[in-house]
Amino acid sequence: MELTSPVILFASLVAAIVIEAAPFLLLGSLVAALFEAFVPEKAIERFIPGNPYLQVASGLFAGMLLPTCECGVVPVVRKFLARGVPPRAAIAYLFAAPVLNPVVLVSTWVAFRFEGEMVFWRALMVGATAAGLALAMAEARASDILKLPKGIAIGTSPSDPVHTPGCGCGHCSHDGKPGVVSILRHTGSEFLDMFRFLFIGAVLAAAFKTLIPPGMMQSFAASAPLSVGAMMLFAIVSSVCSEADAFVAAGFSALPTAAQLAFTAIGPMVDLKLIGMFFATFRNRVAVAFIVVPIVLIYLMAIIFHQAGVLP
Amino acid sequence: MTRAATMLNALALLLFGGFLLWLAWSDVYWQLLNPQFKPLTAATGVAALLAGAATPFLKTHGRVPWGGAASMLLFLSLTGVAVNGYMDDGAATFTREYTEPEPRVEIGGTEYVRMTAPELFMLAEIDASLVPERFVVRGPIVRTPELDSRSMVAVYRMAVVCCLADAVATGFAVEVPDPLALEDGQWIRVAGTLTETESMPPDPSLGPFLFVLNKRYAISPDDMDTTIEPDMPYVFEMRQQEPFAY
Repeated sequence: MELTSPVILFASLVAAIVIEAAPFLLLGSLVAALFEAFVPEKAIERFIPGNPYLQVASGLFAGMLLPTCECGVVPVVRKFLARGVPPRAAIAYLFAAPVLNPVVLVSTWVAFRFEGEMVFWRALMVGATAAGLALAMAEARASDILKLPKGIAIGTSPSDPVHTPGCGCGHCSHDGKPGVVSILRHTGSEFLDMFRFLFIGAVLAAAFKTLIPPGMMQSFAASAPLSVGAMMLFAIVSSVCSEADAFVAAGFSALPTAAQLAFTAIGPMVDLKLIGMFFATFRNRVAVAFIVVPIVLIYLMAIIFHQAGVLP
Repeated sequence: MTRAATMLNALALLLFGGFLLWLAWSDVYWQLLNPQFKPLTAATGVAALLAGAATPFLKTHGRVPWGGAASMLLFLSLTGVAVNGYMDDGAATFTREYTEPEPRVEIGGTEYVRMTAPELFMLAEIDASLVPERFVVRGPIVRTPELDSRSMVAVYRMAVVCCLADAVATGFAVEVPDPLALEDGQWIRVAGTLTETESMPPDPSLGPFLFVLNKRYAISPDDMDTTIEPDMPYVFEMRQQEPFAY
């Protein structure tokens, strides 16, 4: 147990977090690559109902069929909206899919030592926030939400700028039918794209654990409002992928469960990379709402659940 | 530049995959993660190798991002520091006690059940009647001024459910004749019984790791001795009945 050297301890914590999360990140990348290659977009639109509440529900649970981590969900939602998917369903999907999908639910379950309750509370906090934002869309049209280039209207763009030749994403080969090599390459590219956020998050988490005095950790742990706020800020700044963030959060076992859950709930909805994408994709007032509303709702839910003593 | 970035991405994935495969077969693994995840790590290594091998073979359009590859190579360098540290210590080997010891041991004519402090903690929390009447545990000790003043030390084991980052030191206070004669980190073997206590000092501090000291029970030793650290100091498995881990 040679953990006396702070450098080895720091490096070990980074390695442990990344290696533990890597299988889930890679699996998510593979699923996304398979879906992109084999599931036609029209197939998804066909299943969206007319009832507003059912639209929200379909958006909330579409992630179970079309898993997307938050790194890739904004372009996908922009594509959905541009192709006529109702905003209620698309926005519910935007905020719920990075968490309410099999890969993230299983990784959360594993990270939190096979505690099903943690999965439930994380899903509840994310689902409630996503549903609230989706219902707030009311009768808004895609053109009310999206920031579109001048002269381009919904439905007139010859091709959505997501994954087309020259899109610059670096993922697309556009060289015919998808084969095994193409799927593997997409998987590798997705994995590499997301890996940097996992790595940065792991470095921040390890630095936090190694560098801060133990007494400070205990003072955070003693105050739920403080620890919830601190962990939410950490989630937003560290931008860890939803497929891996539970492992980072579980490392903060000295903090209250509410703080760990708030970390895993807010990160997939609002983080530094998402804020940039929100302002690039949505109208400014919508982007602001997409940042402020989840922060307020998750904070309040975490504190209320903590005070009510219902969290594990 | 596009070609160079593509090759960098391929290289990063190949190195990452190769490293995971090596790690899954090496004795360093348990220093970082619970060995039950070895197959998952190995499978990820194979997948990353395949993805890396496929990367150079397709044409790309536009700019190819290389930030992910750079961070992956940085990660591998950083991990190399940790792995090298463990290998230099020779700590990453299983040479002693790789086979499980007998579940019970006789000390001074009395039979004791071998178990770990986390197993003892878990059973005491679930139902103290599940705890064997006489047991023996081993682990490093921690001293604090509060424990010293009660003629106690805390004996613990590091329980690693997933990985080192979520490791929790789980332990019990042990009554000792002279705590000053023991040093922090020294391994001891304690055979005894559980005793209910009225109050317990605060949890000791153990660097970045959470330390949980049982607040209801302490160990009353029948016999205690110093011992050597086993090759596998962490606890990766907690059993609720005999044979317990040790």
